[in-house]
Amino acid sequence: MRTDGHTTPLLQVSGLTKHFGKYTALDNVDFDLAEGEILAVVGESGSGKSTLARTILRLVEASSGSVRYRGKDLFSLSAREMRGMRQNLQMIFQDPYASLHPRRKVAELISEPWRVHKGVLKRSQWGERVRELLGQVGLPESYANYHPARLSGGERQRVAIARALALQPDLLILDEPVSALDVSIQAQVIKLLMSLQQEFGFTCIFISHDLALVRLLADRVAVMYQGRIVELEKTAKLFAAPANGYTRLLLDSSPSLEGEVAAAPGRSSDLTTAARSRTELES
Amino acid sequence: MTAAAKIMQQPGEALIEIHDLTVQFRTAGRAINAVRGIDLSIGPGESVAILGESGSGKSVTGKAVMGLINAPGKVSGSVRFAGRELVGLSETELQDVRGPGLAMVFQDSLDALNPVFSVGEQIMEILMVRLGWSREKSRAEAISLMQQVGIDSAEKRLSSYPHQFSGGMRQRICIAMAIALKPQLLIADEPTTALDVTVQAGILKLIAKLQRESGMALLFVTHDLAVARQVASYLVVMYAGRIVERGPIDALYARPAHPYTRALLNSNPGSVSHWSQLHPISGNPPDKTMVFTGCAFADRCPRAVSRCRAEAPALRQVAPGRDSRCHFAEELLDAH
Amino acid sequence: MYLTQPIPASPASTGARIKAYFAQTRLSLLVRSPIALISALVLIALVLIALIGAPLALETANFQSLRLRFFPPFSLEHGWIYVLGADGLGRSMLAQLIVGARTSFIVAGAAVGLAAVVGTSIGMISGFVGGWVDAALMRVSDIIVTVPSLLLALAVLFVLEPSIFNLVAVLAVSRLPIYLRVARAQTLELRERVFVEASRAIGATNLRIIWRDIRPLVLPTVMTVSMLELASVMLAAAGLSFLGVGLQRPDVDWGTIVSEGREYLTRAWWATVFPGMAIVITALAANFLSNWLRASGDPLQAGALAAATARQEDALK
Repeated sequence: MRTDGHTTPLLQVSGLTKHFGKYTALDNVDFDLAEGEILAVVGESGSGKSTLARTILRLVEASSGSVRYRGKDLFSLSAREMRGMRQNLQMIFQDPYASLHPRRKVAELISEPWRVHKGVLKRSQWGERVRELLGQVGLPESYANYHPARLSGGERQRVAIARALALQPDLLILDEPVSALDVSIQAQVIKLLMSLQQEFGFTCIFISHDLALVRLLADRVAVMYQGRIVELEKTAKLFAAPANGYTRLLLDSSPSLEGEVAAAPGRSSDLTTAARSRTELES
Repeated sequence: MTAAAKIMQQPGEALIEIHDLTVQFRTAGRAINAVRGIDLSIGPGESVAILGESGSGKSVTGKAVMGLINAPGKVSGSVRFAGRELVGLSETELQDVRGPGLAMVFQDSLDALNPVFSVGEQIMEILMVRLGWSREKSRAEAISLMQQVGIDSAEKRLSSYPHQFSGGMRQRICIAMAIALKPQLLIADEPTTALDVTVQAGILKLIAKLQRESGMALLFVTHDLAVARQVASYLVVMYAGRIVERGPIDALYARPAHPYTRALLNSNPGSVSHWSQLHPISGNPPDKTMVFTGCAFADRCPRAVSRCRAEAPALRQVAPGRDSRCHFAEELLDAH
Repeated sequence: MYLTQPIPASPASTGARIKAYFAQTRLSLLVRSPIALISALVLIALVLIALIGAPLALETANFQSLRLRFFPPFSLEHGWIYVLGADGLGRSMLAQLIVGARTSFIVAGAAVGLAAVVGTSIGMISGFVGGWVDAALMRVSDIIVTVPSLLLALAVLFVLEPSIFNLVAVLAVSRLPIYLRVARAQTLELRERVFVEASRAIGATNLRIIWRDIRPLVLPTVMTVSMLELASVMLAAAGLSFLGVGLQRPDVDWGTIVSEGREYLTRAWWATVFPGMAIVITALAANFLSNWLRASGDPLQAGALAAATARQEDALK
């Protein structure tokens, strides 16, 4: 973390709650995010991690609570003010096959933010900036004229990254940015994202279900379960000494390449019982 | 193993022998080569994982063994199961083999179950139709099967419908149905990919336990290196429709004999402690319409030389029990 | 390193590349589907005849001659312009059909175009915004649907002057609900897609999302429906003209010609049969083409179409 004592956090989330009918997707979520920090939010399906991302960005309206960006309450902004604010807050979605409009060319996709936010960049500079962004995400310039259908999953996600960076946001929310990609492609995209983060210093909320992955890149990790943050801790500490029972279960359940095979005979049965109680709870 | 007794097994002979299996789809005038010639044999009681990314042909291989490839897909080559050729069999002939011979568990458990019948009905139906058992006997067996796959209060849950179960529980029911006729080979096609990790852990343990206790052979299709290690002792790595490497799983992870396997391991987040240490594989998996003159991995391979692009390597033994499809497999092995 | 295109086994010639590109376009599917191709050619020919031929044939069409009264068809005695015979006033059938074609296409085209633009716009907004706006618009559309369109047209045209403008307006209003429903149904599905959420995350307004994200994906379906509607609107217009509330001389469309010829059907069948056939052929062609548009626009069905053509080609080899 790179926090100075006197600066306000980039993002302050407090008491964030979201109900969908009777179902509580987010239950009183609090956390602060320092400038330049990478916070990982991990959890399983239904834990509320995706709803958290969408509520912060007001893609879904919260039921109660507040989100302050540089001290400014996002929920009190008018629709027009919020649209302007989106320049600073960008998101990358899980499935690059779904998040890019199929009828638009790569150049149009990347320049769309400038079309929306007039005055950010002169139209005469679009072409040059698109080429620059393509270069930054490691795609050849010739891709500018392609439709997404011609691109592989990893390439599409690079286009989505370029589009998100087009407005030079302060905060980037990554919603499972590599889980829809092939295993051989995931590391490429992670390395790209992280080196861009180092270069531009944007603050990151990295949503994932993959503990092994977030361990490599997050400053802090928030573990979510049933709409609540059950543990929020510095990465190294969380992995070394998880305080919460659910965090431990999550760590134990993740299959690993090294060490003892969990399925091997003779392994203690407490994990099985814990996993069982969890599945029962679900059904 | 009453059902299994029907299909006699010569001692020491492989349970299933796949020879030059090819699967091609022809659509829109283009030929899509999903599987480009696979040789593989699995002995009784063996647990084998097929590892590959999307488009590698791993799932299609599993489906082809089950005889589940429909037009416009074309299967050629040979799949001999307990001495019987499966390729070219009619649907009715295949049905004799499925069940007591081969059974399959799919990725999407909701799709695999019929939504309008209770899970008990669906398990019982298999027993009544295939074994001619009475309703009562089938019911008792269904309860026992559900207990075996770890469903508590099985008797009560017998009359529940698929949608009343969670994804993990549904997958357990699919497994119960697959093992109902005590198959000799269970094919599991990414059975935990759609599940959460905590649920996945339970399912993997269940599959490993059933496999150990019943002595059935297992063919586990996955994209996840770590998952493969939990259920299988032997690994087959596929790339672009071909086997690129195979061998005992621990030896293979410790000393990979193909650059692709090695690259997969190096790009796995579990193998390093900081993102900057990841070594990604460059480029993209090849298009299935491509025709290769050389090695399919050459374009992404850090060690590729001109020979790799000109001359297609054959799958050959490079160490005891280890096969690789790389010209430089020995160098790779020695490098470790 | 970025391989997206299959590497050809041998270096492809420019001709082969062009062929390969052509094979990916929809036009190649059209060429390989005979009925759709013929339909498209028929429609193009009719439109060309209507646009180019009508000004040239106008004078002949109105030229009356007692000597040529009920002149039978398939005779070149009075020149090729009388090849389809003449009506009760001795006017050339062929010339009248050509002039009528223009009016028929203008009326049907304008009505379909108007209904499509207005209906689709309202449908997309209704589906995207939802809530009471959607509910209110859909009820209005329900009301229009419950009133038989012919009855509505009859009533309106009986009260108002039967002019081309009124005819187009009334036909457009009565066909509006179809576009409204099609566009709304598609919008309801599309607005949940992730790329819409992505646009919103960028800061796009609802109108921008409708125009730039939704519209391009709704348009192909609307085109298909429009082609189908062209046929039925043409039939409806002919029906109104036939009933006498449609166009009045000097304006003439195919329906008017059928209506006038009906009086001496027993003496001169050609005065009704030829304009009738013109209507039927156009309607059929539009229907076939619409069917093909639907099938080729649907990725699943387009695959089937392509596979079918590929099989045909295999069989020929």
